Amino acid sequence: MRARTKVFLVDDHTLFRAGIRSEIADRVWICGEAADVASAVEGIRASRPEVVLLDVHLPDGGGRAVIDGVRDAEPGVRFLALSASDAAEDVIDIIRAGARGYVTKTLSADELVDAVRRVADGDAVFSPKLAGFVLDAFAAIPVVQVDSELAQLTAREREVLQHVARGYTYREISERLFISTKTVETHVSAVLRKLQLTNRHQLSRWAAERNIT
Amino acid sequence: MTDSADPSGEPGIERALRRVVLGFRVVGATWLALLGAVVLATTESADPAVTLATVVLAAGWAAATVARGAQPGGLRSWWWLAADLAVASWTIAGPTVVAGQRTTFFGGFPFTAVVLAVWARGLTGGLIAAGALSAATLGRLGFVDGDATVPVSQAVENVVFYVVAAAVLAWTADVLRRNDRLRREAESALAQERAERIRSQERAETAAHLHDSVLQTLALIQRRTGDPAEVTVLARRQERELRTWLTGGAPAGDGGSFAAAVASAAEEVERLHGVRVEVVTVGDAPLDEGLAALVAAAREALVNAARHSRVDRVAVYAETSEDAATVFVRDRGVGFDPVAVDGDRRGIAESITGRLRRRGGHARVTSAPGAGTEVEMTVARRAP
Repeated sequence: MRARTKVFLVDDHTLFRAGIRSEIADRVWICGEAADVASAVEGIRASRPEVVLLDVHLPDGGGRAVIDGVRDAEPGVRFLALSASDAAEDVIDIIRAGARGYVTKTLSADELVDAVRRVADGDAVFSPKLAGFVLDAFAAIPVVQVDSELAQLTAREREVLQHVARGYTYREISERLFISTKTVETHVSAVLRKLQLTNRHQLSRWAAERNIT
Repeated sequence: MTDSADPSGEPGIERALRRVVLGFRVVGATWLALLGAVVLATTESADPAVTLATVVLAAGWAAATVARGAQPGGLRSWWWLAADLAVASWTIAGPTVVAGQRTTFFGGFPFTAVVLAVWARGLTGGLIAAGALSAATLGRLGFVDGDATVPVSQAVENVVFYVVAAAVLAWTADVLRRNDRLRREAESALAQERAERIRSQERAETAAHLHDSVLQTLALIQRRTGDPAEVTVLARRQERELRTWLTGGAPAGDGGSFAAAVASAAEEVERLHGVRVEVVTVGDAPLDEGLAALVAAAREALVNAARHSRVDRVAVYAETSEDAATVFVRDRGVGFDPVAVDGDRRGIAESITGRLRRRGGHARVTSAPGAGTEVEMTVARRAP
C-alpha cells in the first residue's frame, strides 16, 4: 500500500471544497486548502504538497496565477486543473502554464483519486474533454505555418488522444493499440510538452478563431 | 463622443481658435512687411534702417508666436501678452518716435495683438490690448512734425476700431465656446444615458433568463426530492443549458452546426433515458444532409447504448475534418457478441448502417460480452 498522496485544494467555492474533502479525504492526505490566489501561493509554499487540485477560475488572476506564483519556488509541486468550465481557451491556457492535466468537476471520486495519484507519479492526466480541446487546438494550426515538429502531433499521438477523447482508459488504449500502458503515458506526456512549448502565436490564433465562432 | 479633445486635454474649440489666432498673426506680419517694402521704395523721408528693423522684428515675432503657439498653453501667460503688446506698439509708434518717420506701415499687425489677447484673456485681455495700442497710436502724434490733422483723424479711427474689435471678438469667442461646451455636455449625457439603458436591458434579460430556466428547474427539483435519478437529470440538463447560455452559444437544438446538433441529440437522449452522456467534439461544420444523417445515426446508437448497456454513462466523440466527419458512441456496459445478435439489435444496427450508406458513409460496431460497445460512424464531406 502506497503512502497517501499529499494534496492541496484550491477552489473559491467553499461548498465544492467541502464536497471534495468528504469524498476523497479517506484516500489522499489533504494538507491544506485555499480560496484565492494569494493564500493558495502562501499555503502551497508552506505545506509543499505533491499535487495541487487547482480550480481554473479563481478571483484575481485564475489558476494560472497560482502556478506562476509557485513554479519557481517549488518546482516539485504538480498541478491538476479542475473546473466546471468548458471554455477551451482557459483550459489550454492553464495546461500551458504548467498543469499536468485537466479533469472536469463531474468526475467521480474514484476517478479523481486515480487522477491525483497519476499526477503525483509524474504522468499527464487527460480527461476526454481535454483530449478534445487539444486535438482541436492542434488541428487549427495550419500546416504551412508549422515552424517545427513541436506544432504537430505524430500520427500515434493523435491516435492515442482520440482514444482518450472517446472515453478509453490508458489501460484500454494500450490493449487496443498493442502498446504498453507506459508507452501510452509517454505519448500523452509528449503531447503535453508540445502543448507547453508550441509557439504561442499559433495557439492564440486558434483561441481567436474559437472566440469568433 | 468628444471628437474634440486631444491628449493634452485641450477642447477642440480652443485648438481651432488657436489656429485662427496664429493665422491672423502670420497674415498681419506679411501685410506689415509688404507695406514696409512700399515705404522703403517710395518714401524718401523714411529711415531705411528703422523700417527694415521693424519689418524684421514683426516677422521674427510672428515666427516666435507660431512656434510657441504649437503648445496649447504657450501664448496665454500675462508676460507673453505684455511682450506681444510691446512689439505691436513698436510697429505703430516706433519708427515715428525713434526716427521721426511720418508715414506708418503697421497695417493689420496691431489688430492681431487684439485677437491674441481676446483669445488668451477674454474681454479683459482684449480691452487691455486695445488700451495699449490706443496709447501708442495717440502718443505717436506728439512726435509727428508739422500738420497733424490727418494723422489725428486716422488715429481716432484706429482707437475706436481697436476697442470695438476687442468687444466684438470677445463676444464671438464667448458664444463659440459656450455652444461647444453645451454640445459636449449634451453628447456625454446622451452616451451616459445610452450606456445606462444597455446595462439595464442586460440586467432585465439576465433576470428573465434565470427566472425561466434556473428558478424553474430549482422548483422542479424541490418537488421531486424523492426521485434522485430524476433530480440528477434535471440538474444535468440545467447545467448544460446554463453553460451554453453563459458561453454565448446558441441554445442547443437551434441547428445550424454539426457540433451543436450532436450536443442537442445527446441532451435529448439524456433526458429521455436518464443516462449521462459525455460529449467531446473536435472541429465543427454547418449541418448538411450528410451530417444530419450522421447525427440521426449517432442518436440511434446513443438510444441503443442507453437501453441495452445497463450502465448509466455513455461517451460521445464527434470529429469533423475537411474530408470526413466521424462520431464514436461508446459505453462500458454488458456488450454483446456481434455475430450472434438477436433480430431486434440487428434491426437497429441496420437502421444506423443503412442511414449512413445512403449518404456514402459507413458504421462499424465493436463489442464483446462484458467489454462494452463502441459504434463508429463516418460520412464523407463534400467540398463546400
